[in-house]
Parts: sequence; C-alpha cells; structure tokens
Amino acid sequence: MDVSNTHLLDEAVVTTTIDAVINWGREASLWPFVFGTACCAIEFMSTAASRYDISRFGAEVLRFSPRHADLLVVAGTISYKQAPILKQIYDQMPEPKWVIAVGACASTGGFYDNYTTLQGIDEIVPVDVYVAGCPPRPEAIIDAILDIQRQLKREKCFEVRNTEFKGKLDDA
Amino acid sequence: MSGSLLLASIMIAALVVLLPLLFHLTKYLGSSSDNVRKNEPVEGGIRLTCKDSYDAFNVKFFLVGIIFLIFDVEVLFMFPWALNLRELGLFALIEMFVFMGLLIGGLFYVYKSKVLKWT
Amino acid sequence: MPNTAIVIESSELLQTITHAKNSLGFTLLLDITAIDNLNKTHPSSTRFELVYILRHADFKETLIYKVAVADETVGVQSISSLFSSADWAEREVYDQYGINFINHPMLKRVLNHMQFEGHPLRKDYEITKGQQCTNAQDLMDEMKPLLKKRNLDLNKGDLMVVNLGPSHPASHGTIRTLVALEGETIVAAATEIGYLHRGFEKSCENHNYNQIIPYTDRLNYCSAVMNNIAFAKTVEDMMDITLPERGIYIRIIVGELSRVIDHLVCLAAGLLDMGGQTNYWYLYNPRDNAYDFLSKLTGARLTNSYMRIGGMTHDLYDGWEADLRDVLTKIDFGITESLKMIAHNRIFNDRLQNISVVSAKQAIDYCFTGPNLRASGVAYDLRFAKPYYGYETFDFDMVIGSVGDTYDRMMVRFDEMNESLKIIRQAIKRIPDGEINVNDKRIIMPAKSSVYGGIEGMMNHFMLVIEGVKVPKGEYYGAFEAANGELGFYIVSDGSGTPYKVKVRPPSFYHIAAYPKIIENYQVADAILTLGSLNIIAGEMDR
Repeated sequence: MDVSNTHLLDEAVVTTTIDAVINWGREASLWPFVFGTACCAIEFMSTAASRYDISRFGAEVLRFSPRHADLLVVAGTISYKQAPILKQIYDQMPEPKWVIAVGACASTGGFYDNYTTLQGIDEIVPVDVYVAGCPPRPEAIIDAILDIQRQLKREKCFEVRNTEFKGKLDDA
Repeated sequence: MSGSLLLASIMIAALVVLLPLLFHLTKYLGSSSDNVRKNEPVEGGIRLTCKDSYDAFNVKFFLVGIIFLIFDVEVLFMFPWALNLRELGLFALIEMFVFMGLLIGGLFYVYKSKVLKWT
Repeated sequence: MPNTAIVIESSELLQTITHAKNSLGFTLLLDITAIDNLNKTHPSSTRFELVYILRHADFKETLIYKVAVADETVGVQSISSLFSSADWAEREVYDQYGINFINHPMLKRVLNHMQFEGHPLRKDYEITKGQQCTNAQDLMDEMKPLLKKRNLDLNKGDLMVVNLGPSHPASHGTIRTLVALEGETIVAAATEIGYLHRGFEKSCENHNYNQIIPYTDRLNYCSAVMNNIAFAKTVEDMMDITLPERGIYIRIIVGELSRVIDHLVCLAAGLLDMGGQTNYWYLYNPRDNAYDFLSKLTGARLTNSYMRIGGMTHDLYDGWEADLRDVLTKIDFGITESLKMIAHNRIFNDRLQNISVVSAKQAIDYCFTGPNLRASGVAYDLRFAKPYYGYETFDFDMVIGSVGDTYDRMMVRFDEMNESLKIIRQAIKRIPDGEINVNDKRIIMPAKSSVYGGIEGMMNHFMLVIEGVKVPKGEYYGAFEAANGELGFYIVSDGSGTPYKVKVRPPSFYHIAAYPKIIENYQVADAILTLGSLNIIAGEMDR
C-alpha cells in the first residue's frame, strides 16, 4: 500500500507571506530523530556535543520518539533486518518530515556491497539530503541541516511532499 | 468590571477559543499521510507487538499516581492561600496548618506502610 | 607460526571438552566457529570443520580443537550445558554455516533475519545475494519458555511484555530486548541482535589483507586503531615478522589513546543515560581534542585505517609530542572534572551499586573479557598474562573491581583510562628513532620514487596491490587486549594474498549474550544502565 498523502485545500489557495512565516518557524526548529546505528552515529554525537553544536541551528531538541520529530537523520548502515524498523519509524512520523542520509552506508550501502546491507535507504524511504563521507565530518552534517533549511524555505508550506515515492517495503 | 477580572476573562477567552482553533486549522490546512502503519503504537519500530496495552496495569503505578495527586492538590490549595494570607488573617493561617498537619499524618502512614517502596 | 589444533572425533567432543574444562583447567570458552572446506585445493575429509577455542584459567595457554562434521544436518553435540557462552556461539555457527547442534536449547538464527534462506558464510553462497526482510520476528518463542520456567502466565492481568526496541535512545546502537514486566521489575528478558550485521567475515574472503584494514576500523568504531593493530598483529604473527622498535612504540601510543577514547564514549553515554548530561560534555570534549590529533596524524577522525600489515602508513608528524601532551592534559582535566561531580554523588552511587551483580564464576562462564571481567574481580588482562609489544617493561597496574556490579564496571573504566595515560606518557619519553615498517619488500609498499623510477619498484608495487601480501598457509588465532575485552582473529590462510576465512572473536557478542540473564529482577531503569556499563558496540557485536 503506498504512502498516500491527503490535503483538503490542494492547489486552490496560493500562500506567499504565510509560506515565509511558517517555513521560517519550521526551519528554525527542526526536531531531529536520530536513527543512529553505526559509526556515523558517533560522529552525530560529536555534532551534538559542545564543539560543533547543532543547537545553534535550531536542531537542539533531539527527540527519540517519531511522533515528536520532523527530521529523520539516518546515521549508519541499514541492514535488511533493520529496514522494516526504519520504514515503521518513518511512517509513524507526522507530516511534514524530511530525511537526511548521513554517510556512505545510508546513502548507497557504503563499501558493504553484500548479502546483508541495504544499498541505500532511498530504496525504502524518500531522502532529501545525502551526506557523503565515511564518516562525514560534523561540519558536513551541519551543512546537511543547513541544506534542509534552504530547501524548506523554497517549499510551499501547505503542500504535500513525496507523493510519488514507492519504496521496496511499501507493499507490506 | 475591575481591571484584573477583565484581563483574566480575556485570557480565558483567548485560551478557550484560540487553542482549539489552532489545532483544527492544522488539520485542515496542513498535509497528512494516511498509511496503515501510522496509527500503530510506537514500540521501538516493531510491528508485531505481542500484547496490546489494554490489560490491567500493576497496582503499584496507581498507588504512586494517586498519592502524588493528593499531595499535589494540597499544594494547589496552598497557592491562593499564600497570596491572600494578609487579608485572611490569623484564623486562615491556623486552619491551613491544621490541614497540612492532617496530610502530613497521611504521609507518615504511607511511609510506614511501605507503599512507596517499589519492590 | 600457526597454532597447532588438536583434531578430535565428533563422537568424543562432549567428553573431551568436559575433560578440558574440569581436569585440565580450560574454563574460558573463547569462541566457536566453523570452516567450509569447499574451495580448498587439497580436499579434506569432510566439508565442514568446527573449531573450538578455549583458554586456560591462568589465561596463558590457548587450546584449539577441530572437529570434522560428517553431516551438517545431523551436526554435533552442543556444549551449551558446559559453557553459557556456547549458546550464542553455536547459534551463530548454525546461522552462518548451517551446522546443527544437538540438544541446543534454542537453535535459531542470531545475526541474519528470520526470513533469510541459506547460510551466507558457505562458500557457495554468493556474496551479493541480498534477501529482503519485511517483518521483525516477535520473539515470543524465546519468551514463552522463560515465562513458563518462572510460572508466569501471559494472560493473567499484571504481566506487561514490551520491546526495549531496536530504535531506542538508550540502546546504544540497535539492540532489541523483549522484557516481561511486573510493574517496573523485569521478570524475563530475551535479546535479539543482528540489526547491524554487515557481512564483515564474508567481505574478508573477497579482499586482500591490507584491504581488510578499513573493514576492521568499523568493528569497534569507538577505538578504530586498536582493531587495525589487532588484525595486523595477528597477520604478522602468522608471517613471523616483528616490527622495529619505533613502529611498536607508535602502535602502543596510538593504541592506548584509542583505548582511552573508547572508555570516554562508554562513560559519557552511560552517565547521560543516568541524567548526568554535564558529564557527557566533560567527557566528550577531550575526545574531540584526541580527534584533532588523530586526524592530523592519520587523516581521519574516527575510522583511521592507520596500520598496515608490517607497519603503518607513515611516521608521526613533526611536533606530535607537544600536540599529544596537550591532548593528554585535556583528557586528564575531563576525567578529573567528571569524577569530581560523580564520585561522592549520592544519586550516582545509589543507582549503580549492587545492580546486575555478576560474580567471578558467572563472568567466566559467560566469557566476559576486558573491563567487564576485571570488574567482577578476575585478574585477566592480556597485557599482563601474555605480554606483547613490550608491555611488561611499562609501569602500570591492572584495575580490578570487587563486586562485579554496574558501579564497578564503570569505575574500572575510569581507572583504566588513568593507567593508559601513564603508559602513553612513558612511551613518549622512551620512543626511539628509526624505522617504522618491517624491511621486507614482499610486505611493505616501495617508496614512490622507486615505483616511478625503475621497473623493479613498479613491479613490486603492482604485485602488492593486485595480489596483496601473501601469508603462509595455516590457521592461527591471535588475541589482543582491546578496549572492550579480548579481540581475537581466527585467520585461515591458503597461502595467497586473500584470506580463506577470517573470524572475529568479538568481546561485545558474549557480553550481550549474558545481558538478558543479568538484568532479571532489576528494574527497567537499571537495565538501561547495565547495558551502558557493558559497553556494547554494535559494529563489533554484529560484525
């Protein structure tokens, strides 16, 4: 069953200044859900520590429940065993939500091209920003968050996102 | 109407009207996704939970909750009393101390009967 | 120099190992693995061979038994009645090779998912054949026997069965524990791992020895260089080569620094779970200073890949001594500030003392190693039992706990950091000048000037890159005292530059196997702290 997003007003209304205000609110207070599995999670912990503070950019509140979060940060290798867990967490997050794939393993499977590693999380969830690196430096992770903020600014705030994505676990 | 009463009623009106309005607005204006998994309980990402949470909870949780509630309500009563103590006078002071004394007796009983010990 | 393994018949397996445990004193079952002889040039009698690695109670001798498995569907007797650590080790052999174990209490997969078909480490399983998993298992097949043993009924009101799921802030990686709760007390628990299984061992069979070094980085990613050193040392022992003095000292310095930063992460995360967030900042910041030094030295912060077979990539840079001393001062400061806050703190002491007590006998049975074992009072440290790299010439102590509770496991790590800092300071004073790599052109890459300058250098470089370092034929188990415990590599070489088999003996695997047993009758909050104190690194546990 694929992810179907619904929206009452659809394209009937054009919002510009409201867009600016609401998007400013959203970008300045992204609440990340850290789905950290491996080495990239350690680098994310460094990013959240006091030297490369991500709370400078508004993403201070690290929420560990998908219901409270709007930014899914997947840091680390996702194996086939982990994939349904990731899909469940992603589906349980409320809209609007963004996804960052941190590191080579989350983006494409990294150098684990074998029987157990998912070759990139974009096989199951739609990804907004990919961060290269193994693991990427904290500055690169912060750059990804800033990139999400830049993307956010250009969006229409009431628009539905990612309607056409169909991942491999969507039929389950 | 006095100034503070007017202010208080404006505040209550704003809360009662504005907050539900905001909630409903997000429902109509915002986007939502409806998929099967969204409404399932969050259990660390697992789908096949073996038991749902509609069974009886252990009575220890209830006891801790109820005892907290009683003492919280006591504190709630103490706030307006503390603010208006000067106008209420000596009688109110002694009465509140009697009230607190009764509840401290209750706390003592709770402590002695080891209800608050978890094991 | 390969180990000599004793070959025994599968019919006498149980009695030989019972004899070894009870009479000969080999009380520590380090690892059980298997070898698939399908692609070997000289055919053996059977396709599968099991390998049992035991260690003596005085920690000096290792004993390796090899058993030929006639029919893998019938299998051999399980030794989980003798050693608790055999339980999950045999499950892993069944999962990866498909060998059955008779009388095993619960023989099911441990690393791969339940919908996986086939056994991936067999030589005829193609490495890129992935299998999609659509659902997690519900673990009730493990929970029901546990509840029955304790006479608890699932349908009676009070019992709550809940997942401390794979996605949990305090499960340090991805470990799933299904707990049955009576109120807040855990009455039964079942753990599932394998969510970070990345196929390290299968990847090793496809790469040559130096190409495996980056894979070893990602095993225990908190102290990456120690894994490099452990692997390189095992291969060098197989080839019977020793590094020059300076190379050894560099390995000691960077290795002990990695041990310190690993303990820093463990303690920072553990204290954060308890609510002491200030400790997280105080213990994490020196790690960033150490990263500065390591990134200047090796080029990467976290996954360094500094070591190579026969040496390392390059020497220490000019001015390293001042930088390193600065890092050590900052680490010292972080440790003292953190200890100031917690050592006499009532909350810290009450929450950790007498939680999840593991006695010395139990710890040996579960095959704990490293700080977890030393916290239970067992004096086992490979740097003292079988010193390598000249550790016996350094002046440092072994840190031993008394009770084996969570408090001990954490405080042992604090003290071990101080001991490691002592070693580093002594090594800085004593480090000699000289070569860092072995002087052997079959192992070490030639200098670039000779690669571009002459035909011999170019051919040498070409052969080393394409075929890799050739290791003489044989099998060897090499152990190393890593930050988490005994990190062992069991390498089977067929004489070429690619190993035939590499098995990692991961310390965290055996710690997590004991976890569901040691959290029983404690509360959920205590279980979280116990998990933090065991220092489970999923990269190493799941490989």
